[in-house]
Amino acid sequence: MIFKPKKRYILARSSIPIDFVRNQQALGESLLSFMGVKGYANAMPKVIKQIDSTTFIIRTNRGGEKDVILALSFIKSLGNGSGTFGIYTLRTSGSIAALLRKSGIR
Amino acid sequence: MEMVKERAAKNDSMQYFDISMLNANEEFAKSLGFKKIFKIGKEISIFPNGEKCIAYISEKNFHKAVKSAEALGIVANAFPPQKKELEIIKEEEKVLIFPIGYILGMKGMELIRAIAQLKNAFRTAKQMHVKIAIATLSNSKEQFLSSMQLLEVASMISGSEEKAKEMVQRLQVFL
Repeated sequence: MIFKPKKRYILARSSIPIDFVRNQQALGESLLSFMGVKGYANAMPKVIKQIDSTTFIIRTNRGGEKDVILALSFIKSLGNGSGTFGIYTLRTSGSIAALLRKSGIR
Repeated sequence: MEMVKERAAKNDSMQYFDISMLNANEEFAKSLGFKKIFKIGKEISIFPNGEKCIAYISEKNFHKAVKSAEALGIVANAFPPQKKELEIIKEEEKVLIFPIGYILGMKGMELIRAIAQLKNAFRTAKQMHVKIAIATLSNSKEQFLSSMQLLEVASMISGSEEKAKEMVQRLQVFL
């Protein structure tokens, strides 16, 4: 039997408005430079939803979320002229619905 | 039901704190998962200007500060902290605060060197049984971290989740 890998969802907020779905590749490259190929391949982070101008959701493989949270602490620019910013990780959960419910968004 | 109560009690005890140069209101602090973010110049002053102070290890008044009752924390801003200084900090039961805001803008080898310095300093302080805390001491909005991120950075420096929690909770001495 083949099991589907479990996911973790991270709710994050940036200090300035940035569309991280559009800047997916730039964020991915920044994460890769901090996590390394092994860490990135293990976590496979992906921005799946932009909730508002600053808040977004990242999906990772279970077990890789801590590396992603740590890497997000060190990302201060995307290198594409988007300026400097900070990313704050607010909450993690095993489902998007629970994440939004717990954080009071929905 | 008991498990839920236990978890609630555990969550209540998770009181995380941070220190910043900027003003962070209660709502912002709560959204980042902190009970409080102390502002330098408001809730905490720099020695010798208040009742609850921090002092810098590199400053000339370090010896005077560490002996005073007002200075509750000593910021390790010179690496590596000398064993003599750590001994005094331990004797006077002060909290040694590791600032990490300055490493957040670093990249590549510069960042790796800074992390190695922090790890070495942590190991030396731990061997000497000094009370250790961690804070961002952020001087810009970009340098703020959430409590989850601060815990991960503390875990990276200390190598243990338990120690990391202690480090992030220890700033409650300033309450």
